[in-house]
Amino acid sequence: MRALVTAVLGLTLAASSVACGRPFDVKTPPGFVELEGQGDYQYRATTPEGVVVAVRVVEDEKRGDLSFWTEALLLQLREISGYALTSSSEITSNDGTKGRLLQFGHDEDNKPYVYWVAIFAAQDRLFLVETGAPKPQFDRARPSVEWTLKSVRVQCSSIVAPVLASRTCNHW
Amino acid sequence: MTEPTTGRRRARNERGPGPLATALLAAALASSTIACGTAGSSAPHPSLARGGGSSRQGYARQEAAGGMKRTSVESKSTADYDHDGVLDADDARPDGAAIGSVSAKEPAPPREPSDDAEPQKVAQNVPATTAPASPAAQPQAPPPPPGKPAPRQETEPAAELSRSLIIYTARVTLAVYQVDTGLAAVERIAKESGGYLALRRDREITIRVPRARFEGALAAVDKIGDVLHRDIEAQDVTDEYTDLEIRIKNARAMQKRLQQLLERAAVKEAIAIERELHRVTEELERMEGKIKLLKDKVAFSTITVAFEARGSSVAASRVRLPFPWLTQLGLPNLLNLHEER
Repeated sequence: MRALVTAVLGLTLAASSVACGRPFDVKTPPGFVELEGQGDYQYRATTPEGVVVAVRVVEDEKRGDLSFWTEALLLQLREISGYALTSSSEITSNDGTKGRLLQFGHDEDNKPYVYWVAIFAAQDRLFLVETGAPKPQFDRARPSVEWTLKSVRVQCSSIVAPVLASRTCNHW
Repeated sequence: MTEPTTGRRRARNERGPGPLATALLAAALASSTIACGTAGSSAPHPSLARGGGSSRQGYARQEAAGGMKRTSVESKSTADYDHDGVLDADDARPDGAAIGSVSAKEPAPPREPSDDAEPQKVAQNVPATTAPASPAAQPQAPPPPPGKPAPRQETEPAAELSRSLIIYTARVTLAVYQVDTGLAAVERIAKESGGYLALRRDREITIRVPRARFEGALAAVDKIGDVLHRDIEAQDVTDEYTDLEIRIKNARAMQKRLQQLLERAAVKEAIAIERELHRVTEELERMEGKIKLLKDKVAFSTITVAFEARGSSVAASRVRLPFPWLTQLGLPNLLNLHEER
C-alpha cells in the first residue's frame, strides 16, 4: 500500500514538473541555435543570417475550429497588415494533428521577406509556428525550415497519463 | 484710298449705334445662352444677315484666336490631368506627345472657327471605328460591358454608339510584396496593351489602356500578386458629351457672328465686340479642352494598382477581432530577437 501511494505521488510530482515545460515539441534544425528567454515565444531559434523559427502558444483557447482561426489569421495578415498570401495548404504535425500552413510575402524597407505561419489546434490551445526572413536567406534555409515544421508535435503520445495529457506531456 | 473708308465710318458713327448696337446686344444675349448649354437654334440674327465680306482685320483676329486656342487647349488639358491626379504634366505617351493634349511638336494649322464641320467630325470620331489615329486624338471602339462579347460596330446605329460613351476606371489593391517587380509588371502590361504609363509612385502605379483592352489588362494585373480589393467604375458621360457638343456649336456660331460684326464696326464699337469675342473664344476653348479630355478618358481606361494594406481604413475599423495575440503576428515581432536572460 505504501509503495502504491509513493508511486502515485511520484507520478503526480513528475507530471507537475513536466507541466512547467512546453506543451509541444519541436526539433531545432542544423544551422539554427535555440534562444532562451524570448518573451511571448515559447520557442525561438535563429540562423546566423537571421532566419527565425518560433512557436507561440495561445492558452485556453477552446473556441473556434481550424477554419475559424485560419480566416482570422488571413484577415489580420492580409487585409490589415498587407501581407501577400502566396500559398495556403494543409499541414500535418509529427503526431498526426491536422493544421494549416499559410505562406506570405511582404516587403520590409522595400526588400522582399518571406513569412510563414502554421496553426494547429490541440489540447485546448492554439499552436502557432512562425518562420520568416529576407527572401534570399529564407530560400537558402528553406529545407531546414520545412524539416522543423515536420518535427512539431502538439499532441502528447503519452500512454502513462492520458488525463494529464490535456495539460502537459511526459512522453514526446 | 483711306479717306472714303474713314468717311464711311465717321458717317456711321454719326448715325449712332443703331442696328449695330442692337446686333451687339443680341449677340451678347445669345452668347449668354451658350453657357447654359441649350440646344437652341443657331440661326443668325436678322440684323447680322446683312453683314458680309471679310476684312484683313477680321482674318487676323481669327488666326490669333486659332493660335491662342491651341495653346490654351494644351495647357488646359494638362492642367486637368494634374488636377485629377491621374497624369503629370511631364508624363508622355510613347510617341512623345503630351498626354491628353494636342501635340506640341506638331502644331495644328489655324482652323476656321466657322462651319459645323468640326462638331460633326468630332461626333464621327467618338466611336473611332474606321480611321486609325493617335490615341489622344481619336477614341477607340467602345468595348463591350465587362464579361460580354464585343458587339459588331458596322451594324450599330449611331444612337447605340453615342450611348456607349463610358469611362472605365479600375483600382486594384495588391498586398505589399515584391513591389518593384509588381510595378514593373504593371508597366509592362500597359505597353503590351497599347497603353501608356500615367503615374508611378513608390507603391502605386496608374496606367491607361485602350478601352477595348481594359478587361484583358485587368486580368493580367490580377495575376501579378495577391489581390486584396478591386473597384471598377463605369461612368456614362454621354449626356455631358452631347451637351458640350451643342454648346461648342453654338459658341462657334456666336464667334462667327461677332467676327462679322467686327468687320463693320467702328472703333468704339469694335472694342466692345472684341471684348465679347474674346470671352466667347475663351469659353469655346474651355469647352473644346473639356470635350477633348472627355474623349481621351473614354478612349483610354484608367487602371490604378496600389500595393497597400487596407487596415487603416476599412478592415481595421469594421472587423478587428478581439484577440490581442493576432496583432503580435508578423515579421517585426518574429525577427526582433530578445537578448537572452
